[in-house]
Amino acid sequence: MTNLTKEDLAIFLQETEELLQVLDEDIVKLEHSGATTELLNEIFRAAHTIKGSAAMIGHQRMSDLAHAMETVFDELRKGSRPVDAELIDTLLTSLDTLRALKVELTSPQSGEVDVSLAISMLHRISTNDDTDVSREHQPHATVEEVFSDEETLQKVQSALKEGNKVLLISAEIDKNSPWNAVRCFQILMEASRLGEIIRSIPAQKEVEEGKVDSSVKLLLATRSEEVKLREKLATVPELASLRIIPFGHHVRSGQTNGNYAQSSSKITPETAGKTRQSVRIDIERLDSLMEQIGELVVNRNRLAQLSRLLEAKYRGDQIIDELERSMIQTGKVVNMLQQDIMKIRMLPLETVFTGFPRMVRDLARKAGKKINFVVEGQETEIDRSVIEHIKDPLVHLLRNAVDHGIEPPEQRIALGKPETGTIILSAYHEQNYIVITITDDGRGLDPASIKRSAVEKGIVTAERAAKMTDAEAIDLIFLPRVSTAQMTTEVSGRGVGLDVVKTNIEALRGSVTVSSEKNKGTRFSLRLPLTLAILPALLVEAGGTLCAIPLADVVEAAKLPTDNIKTIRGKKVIMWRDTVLSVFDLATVFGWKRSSTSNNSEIESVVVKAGDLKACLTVDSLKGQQDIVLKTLGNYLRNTRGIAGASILGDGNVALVLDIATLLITTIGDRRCHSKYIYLTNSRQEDRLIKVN
Amino acid sequence: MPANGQTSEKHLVLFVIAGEKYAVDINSVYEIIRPQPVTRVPKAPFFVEGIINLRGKVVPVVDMRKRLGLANAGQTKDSRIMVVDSNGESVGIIVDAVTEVLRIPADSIEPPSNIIVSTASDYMLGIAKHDGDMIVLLHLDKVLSKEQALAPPVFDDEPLEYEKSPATTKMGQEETKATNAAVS
Amino acid sequence: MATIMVVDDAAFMRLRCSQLLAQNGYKVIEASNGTEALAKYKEHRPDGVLLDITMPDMDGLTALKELMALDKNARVSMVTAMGQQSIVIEALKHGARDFVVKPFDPDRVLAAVKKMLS
Repeated sequence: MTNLTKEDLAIFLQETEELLQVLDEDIVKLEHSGATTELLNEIFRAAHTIKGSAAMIGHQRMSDLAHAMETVFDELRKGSRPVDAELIDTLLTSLDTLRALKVELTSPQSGEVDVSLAISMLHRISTNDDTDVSREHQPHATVEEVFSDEETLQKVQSALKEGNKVLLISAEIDKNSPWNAVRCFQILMEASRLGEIIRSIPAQKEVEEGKVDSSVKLLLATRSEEVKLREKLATVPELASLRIIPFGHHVRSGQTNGNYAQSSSKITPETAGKTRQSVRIDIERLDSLMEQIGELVVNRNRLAQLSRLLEAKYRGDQIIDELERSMIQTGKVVNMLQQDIMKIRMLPLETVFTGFPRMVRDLARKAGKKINFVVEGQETEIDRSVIEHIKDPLVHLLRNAVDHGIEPPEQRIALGKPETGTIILSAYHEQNYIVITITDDGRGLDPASIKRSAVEKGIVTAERAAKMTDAEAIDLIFLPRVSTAQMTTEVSGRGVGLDVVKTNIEALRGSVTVSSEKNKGTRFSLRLPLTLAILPALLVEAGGTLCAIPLADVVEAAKLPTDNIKTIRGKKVIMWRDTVLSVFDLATVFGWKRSSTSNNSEIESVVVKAGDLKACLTVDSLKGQQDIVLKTLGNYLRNTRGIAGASILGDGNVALVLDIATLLITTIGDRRCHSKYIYLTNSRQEDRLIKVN
Repeated sequence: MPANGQTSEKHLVLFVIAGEKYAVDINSVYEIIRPQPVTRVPKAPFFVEGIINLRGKVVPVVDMRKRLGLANAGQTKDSRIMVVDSNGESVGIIVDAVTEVLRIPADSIEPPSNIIVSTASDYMLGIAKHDGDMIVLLHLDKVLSKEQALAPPVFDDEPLEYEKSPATTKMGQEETKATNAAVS
Repeated sequence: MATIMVVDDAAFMRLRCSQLLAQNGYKVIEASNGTEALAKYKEHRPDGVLLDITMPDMDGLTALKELMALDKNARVSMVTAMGQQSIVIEALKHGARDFVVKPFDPDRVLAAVKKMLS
């Protein structure tokens, strides 16, 4: 295909990526759970589609490789080849090569990927070298793929010219029929008595060779009435369903192959049922849409405010009444619009989980472990903005589970455990959160050795460690140096910092907890908000400027008696629930003047936290709680410590959104808290994520 | 498109800071708005006034007087915020007044090095002569970069020979409309 | 009343088939091999033939071809055991109207006969 536009290529790349992920996952599944017809069909289809699309864009090597894979899958499907390690390795190698071929398309400077190795490996494991047979044999090819080829369309056109009707006939034979191939053959025989078969899937020759499951589709050029045809075909025994649809107008109306494919997929329930109707949207467009909806909401709020003012001024006026009614209606629509957009932004976790089975497999193989990896709840949906940031923490935790959790087979057997360990990755909704758990049945965490390590590193005193419960001791692994120490003592080599996982998850306004029992296993639970787009916040005023503190960082907001504030070694502190907290005046920290100090006996205060660190911020006044949309300050003001961004409130005012973690770092100078804020409103990558360490 | 040549004209927005005339290419100006309340941002660069809400977008605002190291004169009724493109981002710049939009011949613009002696030449694209005035063409990306302190342009003592430039056109009908719309 | 000829070398099968058809109002002629079938077809001109594929001497496919040569409008349905798909397809190509797989269920046999006669 010569005229390949950027958009075409983008679609090709995206679809191929999806298919590669399907293959990735399915091949691993194949190794674990063995071959099922459904699985093999899915694998076959994926390879088949890649083959076809690659050929369309003229990527011959990719098409050839996909074809060689398809041949092997077909043999698997026919049961003429067993699933073994060699097969899986070959398929995974081929898959990696396919991936490289895909990359080659976007970065041509990387040079041509050589497919000959992968292809020759595939040929070697292939029992049947006659690849042409399988090229023809495509029972799972969809109608549109085969019937939209140039040759077929030409035949259709000339049949129409000769005054024939062209009918698309799809017949399904009862799945219980012992000989559905013969039944399909009978359909072809009956049809050919009443007209000329332009093309059929599968072709008659394939049907005769039994290469068909229980359905056949064909294009028939005929002068017979549809009713008569239907009557004749219906005499074929064990016919489960029969559809006859005029085909000609698709071609006559001059639609392209692509369009034809769409219309035909609509009329064949087999294909329509399997693929949900969907539209691909550019992510930037979605972001921009979200931003505009945000503006709409802000303006809606402003209009509502104005409408209330008018109402107060001209109470009883009929026009005002109507305005108000209209405002209410508009408000509802805007709300719905906002909710719908939020929904569009939701993605199933599948998009993240999909590469994990392969990863766990490879890790397990490398580590010499036997692991059964189970994924549950991958259909659980979460906002795109969150999904982008949970992959790394999950990879961390899965690696840990494989490397440090699951014991080597011999050790497991010695412990009386099944030789194969199990890791379960599971996700589900819980109110406005999703919970992702990673559970392994490995050696578990040993509180005693964690305590020892923490004491050795000087992180806790021996005295305090002795008082700790097991759960408290296990929680120590989230502290920076402990986890590394703990892990490296168990397995030589790389230690993985769980503090990083915790930091990343908390940056998403989530939390991570762990529970573990020695020799029974470990479970990590991540709790994440469904969306980051909207952030509940406490509004305060400091030095006359509106500031928003994310509610997740707020422990308590209250008027505190000024008497409680003491000065110790030149630093202000306050006793708060048996704890001594540092006190900072927000305006002073920012170098502003407090605007009002009229009442000295009490002061508005907000107790905030970042990690384990708490502090008390004093402010001019508390302004209540509001959902806000966090917007970046842009490159220009980035790295303004203590400020995460800004938000535009319903009345159009701009509030600064505080980044409590960096604020506390700069004020207290404690290095224990990290901050990593996620920006949502700007689609430019560099603005979305600002890391402050 | 200009009728008499391909790249012979520059389309500029003129504005005034501390009595000096400056200009930027019209393509880098998104809009011109009246001054509005600015939310200050702590620890921002000294010349950044703060941020404003520009129809739901958060836009930083730079005080050009401060940026160029000039005395603060306070706002007048002529003060404007020009929202311009700086390295791909919208930034508001506070100027004393926006005076006109005009086309001038490209060849009436001279490189700054010929006329100006100071580090200011770093953030200038050139000097245009128009109606006996000198107009400093700003390099927005540079003038708004927060890396270095800037000094106002210092003109050489040697008097320049101004020539009335007949090729300079007055604001066209179209541009008048555009400017009005932007200012309103 | 339609006449059906049942051709099968196995007497038991012939019997079962004949009984079933007779009970459903058909007149039945029996033949135990291909040669006999051809002779009886010429003699009785039955409305339809149920023809077993696996028979000694002349197999079902050959018998079918001969029958079709004798009467190109002959209505023949093949009777077959599992694993003979390709032969059935051959038979269908040579004019057989339908087929029944042994061990057959009565409904299928009747349906095949009905289709053959339609």
